[in-house]
Amino acid sequence: MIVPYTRALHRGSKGIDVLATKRALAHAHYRRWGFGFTKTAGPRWVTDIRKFQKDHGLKQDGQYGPKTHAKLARYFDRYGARLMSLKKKQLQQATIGRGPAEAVHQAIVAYNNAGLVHYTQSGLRMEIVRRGIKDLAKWFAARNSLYEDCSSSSTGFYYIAGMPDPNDLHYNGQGFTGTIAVHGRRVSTPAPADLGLYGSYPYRHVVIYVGGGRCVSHGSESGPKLTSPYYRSDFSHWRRYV
Amino acid sequence: MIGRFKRGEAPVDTGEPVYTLTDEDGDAQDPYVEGEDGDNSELAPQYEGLVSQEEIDRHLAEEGK
Repeated sequence: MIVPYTRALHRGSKGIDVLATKRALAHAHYRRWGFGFTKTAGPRWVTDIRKFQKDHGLKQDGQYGPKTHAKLARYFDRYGARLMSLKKKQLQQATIGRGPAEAVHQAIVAYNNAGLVHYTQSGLRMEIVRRGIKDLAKWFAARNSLYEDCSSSSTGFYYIAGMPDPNDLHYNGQGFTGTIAVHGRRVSTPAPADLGLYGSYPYRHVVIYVGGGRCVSHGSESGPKLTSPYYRSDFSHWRRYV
Repeated sequence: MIGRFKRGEAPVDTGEPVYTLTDEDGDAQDPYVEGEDGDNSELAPQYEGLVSQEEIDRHLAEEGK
């Protein structure tokens, strides 16, 4: 499961990520479940964080940073993970743009529901585009499955995000690595939502960069997977479409 | 019920790795996958008509091949 780190939190912080940390603290038995979980970090949240930090060998500063997040992450449930990803999307919209932030969010949602995402190169692929799916979280919440391959899933994330079709086919349900490769522009350093290609033309595989040196790769039934983009030796290059 | 979730519906430790996607030191586990997933070479003939030879040539020229 991917539980993205959003930002540093401290007393007075407000947002759905604060609520998500409260849920995780409750799951970790540092807070009682109750009806009063708000989106604001109050004094009790600080106390709970301090206790959690003490028990996990962290500096007890009562603030929520990447190190505390790394220890607490395993206590988030899927709802909490979704809240963190939504908050990350909100924060990223200002820096990387609304479309790329949404595409990355959808890729994370797909990863977090990997059991419902199948791999196929048959006519069942491009299901996101063909069905006009607008939000994968809602699609999976209804226990719907999804049939995609590497290029069709990447295309689908772009489709939901309202980005241009990386195949330049106006989302007609077609496209593969060969069409992805001849559109957009080559970039040397990846930004979130850039697509990475493997092999040589018409290329064997494509992944979507999600930040933090990681990409989401849907190349087999066991996918989507989170990995370093350079996990295989035939990485070719990155392309950008915005 | 608490909101949409039942009381006590705590995440069960399934051994599933948890990744935090932070640029800083803090990823819970190394997410590298093994093997070389992904091979759409059989898909290429099916869709080859979608790309003109001109587009392919331009792309290959850009790639310096």
